[in-house]
Amino acid sequence: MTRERTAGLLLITPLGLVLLLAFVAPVLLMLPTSLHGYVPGRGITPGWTLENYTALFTDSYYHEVLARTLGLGLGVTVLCLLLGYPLAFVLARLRGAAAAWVTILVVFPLLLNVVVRSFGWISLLANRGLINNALVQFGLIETPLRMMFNLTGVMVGLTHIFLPFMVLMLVAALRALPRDAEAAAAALGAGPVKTFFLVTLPLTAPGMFAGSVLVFVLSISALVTPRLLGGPTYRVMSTVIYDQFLGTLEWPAGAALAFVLTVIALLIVAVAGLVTRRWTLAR
Amino acid sequence: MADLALHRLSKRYGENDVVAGIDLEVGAGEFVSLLGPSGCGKTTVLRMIAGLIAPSGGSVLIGGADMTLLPPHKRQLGLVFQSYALFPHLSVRDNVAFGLRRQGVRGAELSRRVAEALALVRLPHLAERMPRQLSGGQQQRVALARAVAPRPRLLLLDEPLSNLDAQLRDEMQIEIKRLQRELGITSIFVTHDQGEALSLSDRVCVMNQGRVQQVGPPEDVYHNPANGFVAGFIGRSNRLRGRVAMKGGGAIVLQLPGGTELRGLGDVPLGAEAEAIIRHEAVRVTEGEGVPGVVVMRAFAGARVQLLVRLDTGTELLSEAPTIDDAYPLQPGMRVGVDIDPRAVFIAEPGR
Amino acid sequence: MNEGRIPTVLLLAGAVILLFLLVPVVVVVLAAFSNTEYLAVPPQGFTLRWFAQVLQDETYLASIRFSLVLAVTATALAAVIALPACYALHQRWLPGAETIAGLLMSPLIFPAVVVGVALLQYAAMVGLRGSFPFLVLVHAAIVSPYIVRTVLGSLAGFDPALEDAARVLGTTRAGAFALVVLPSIRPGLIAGLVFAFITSFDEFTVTVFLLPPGQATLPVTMFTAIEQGVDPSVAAVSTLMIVVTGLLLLLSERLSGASRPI
Repeated sequence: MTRERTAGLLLITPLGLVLLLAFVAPVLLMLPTSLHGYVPGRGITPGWTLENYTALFTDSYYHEVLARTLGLGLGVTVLCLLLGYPLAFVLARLRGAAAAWVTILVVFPLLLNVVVRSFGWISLLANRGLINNALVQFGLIETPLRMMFNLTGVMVGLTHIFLPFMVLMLVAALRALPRDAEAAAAALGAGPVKTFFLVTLPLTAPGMFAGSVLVFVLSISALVTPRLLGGPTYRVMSTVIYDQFLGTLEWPAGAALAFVLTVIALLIVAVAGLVTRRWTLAR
Repeated sequence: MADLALHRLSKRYGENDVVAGIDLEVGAGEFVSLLGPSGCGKTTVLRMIAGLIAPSGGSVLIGGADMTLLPPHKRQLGLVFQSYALFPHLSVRDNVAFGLRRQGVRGAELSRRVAEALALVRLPHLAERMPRQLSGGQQQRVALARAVAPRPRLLLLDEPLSNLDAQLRDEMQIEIKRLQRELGITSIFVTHDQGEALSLSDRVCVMNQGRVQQVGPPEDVYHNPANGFVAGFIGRSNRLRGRVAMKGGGAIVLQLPGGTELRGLGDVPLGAEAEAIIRHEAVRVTEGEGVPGVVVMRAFAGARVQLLVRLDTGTELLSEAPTIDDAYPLQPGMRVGVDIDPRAVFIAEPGR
Repeated sequence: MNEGRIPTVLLLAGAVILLFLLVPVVVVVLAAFSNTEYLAVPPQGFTLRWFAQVLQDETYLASIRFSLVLAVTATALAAVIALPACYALHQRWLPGAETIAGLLMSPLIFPAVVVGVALLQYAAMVGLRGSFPFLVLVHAAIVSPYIVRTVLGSLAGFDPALEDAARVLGTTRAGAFALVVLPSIRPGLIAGLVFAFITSFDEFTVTVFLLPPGQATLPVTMFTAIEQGVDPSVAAVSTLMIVVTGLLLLLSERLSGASRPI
């Protein structure tokens, strides 16, 4: 027993050490940084202060960024649900080669680099992008529509990035449906629409919930897409953090914002875990 | 000298004695079964012999040498698993060659030994197949060949027949017995199936709750159970409660509710509550004399017929007899006399 | 879910949504062949000059090399440290194996941008800013959960009797792992390695904070190029990545038979 425990510890130590040194320690070391001040030109001040956190609650600029980030996350989540459900519904009912190919087509964008995917949307949405060119060419509009560096661009881009996650989660939920639940509802006289709203939708609710949590948490912490499609002006929490660390060098303020983002993400994951547990226990 | 000796071998997980100090000696070329219900510790004993589990106490001696602390790969044993455990990524040939290669056997000698082992289980033509292309029975025969190819000091078999269906099980049973005889290899066979244990073994070691209950030849274990557990576990029996009315010289008279007296063997204090364990085949039912009763039910099972008899005192007894026996023509509703052979009635304290 | 006819409306909706997923990819590929200085779809004329330009551009070539070396070493390192840990967890040699497995997955739930800035600050603090070995270590930490997940999953379906059989037949534990366990879990392991490689190669959000001066991974180089203005050479690089990613996906699909790498 003890020999096995020693062996186990030895085997797990390398990975544990790497995670500790290259992951856990750095994240924890951020907390003290966020409690210092910053003076432009002089750098980080030695004294302790809470001003980086109070600023998040008092500064209207931060209010806007926070609200925008969370609103964006919510919007993307709803869009992913609305677009993901029909696709997942179809995919879950496909069989054989068709199912395999559609699955590959859904997974493929997921594996594709986010920079490439965002670039694809830039080519489509830019002022001189494909959509605007086409619309102008057909005479539908005079001046290009503004679809980038604003809410639309970032929302579309993020939805595209995270939709595959939602689809895969929903397909798993739909495939896990008790085989005969839908057939039973139909046999009891419910039409297809009624069956869907009375049986399928409630039974897949946990899957929708899990997918939504995942998409929301990933959206509020995404960096590449908001940066490329939102530009330097339309900013969310992650892009502000990016600028504060690589641009203005206000590390303490950036660290505070990063800490808040982490807490929001972890809280949502934790609460979702609790809700899911309640849910499974209640059944 | 014993080929395998276990001395006070034990395994404890926390507060739980899975194996509670077992002593067992197995002679060269002997075939011994470890028989018991699931959770009795028999597989744990086998895995301790193989070196896959470290004992909490006691020792394992193989060929006179203490192997208690030796890792499995240094013990030179053969082990056959319930799940066959053939390596799925290797061909039949490479599976059988696996142990030989570890011993450094190479080249022509390797081919010869593999062919020899496959011939032994009568599958020489399947050498190039992959395990998933074989039936369950074939897989288990390959597993057997793989285990014996390196000429192990002991052959350990862990419920090797449990995954096979009934007909194959009978064939494999004969196959195992034949192979063991031909090789003269000392074998330990773990099973929960008394039929397998009784028909295959030179000796049977009955286990319960981590302890050896009885060790002996199959006939002995069957006819002279050492205690209530063995009597109840081996064979198929009626169980009747009563009170000890008389005893002396190993014989006991048990008074059943309703007054019937039942004679049998055992050692229970006078006046104590006791349980009689009566083998189905010890209950003889005739139209002639005996304790009076009536046939309630009759079940025909080919070679044998079962009768459920209700004695006039209310006690119900199951009887089993060959279909050529006198009991064969008896039908439900008929008045009968029941006669019980006292040598096949074992009386023990209840719950033992 | 029952088999059966799928309403036409739904099929159409599904197709449109699938199209939404694929349109940006298709657009990028088409634009890469356009014989114009700006992006044009459908391509006007046909040319391979953007590919030629990319393959002669030292900045791109250097970052492709850099990304490849980084992804290969990080994946290898992650496999080397993750496999023993998975084995110990699978054998339940440690109390609370479930909890430990959960902890090993934790890099997945932290916002990447937070991890990035935290590592930047940490690297500055301990004097490892811009260190390539540190970047490899970080990437190994980031991709290790994918390997842990697939390997633990494969081990769960592995018959422990196989390992026992090998050991009784004369191999040590390590030998049994190499000769029997590893070959048995190979499909899952390969899928995990491919996914880890892709993840490392594509990683941007953490990497951008830790790059050695004057060097960049391919995604960072592309990111910079896009921020400076869009031209078809970016589309050509993107097309190359699309093709390679597709090939890797098909490869792991073929090797593992599993269509769900996440």
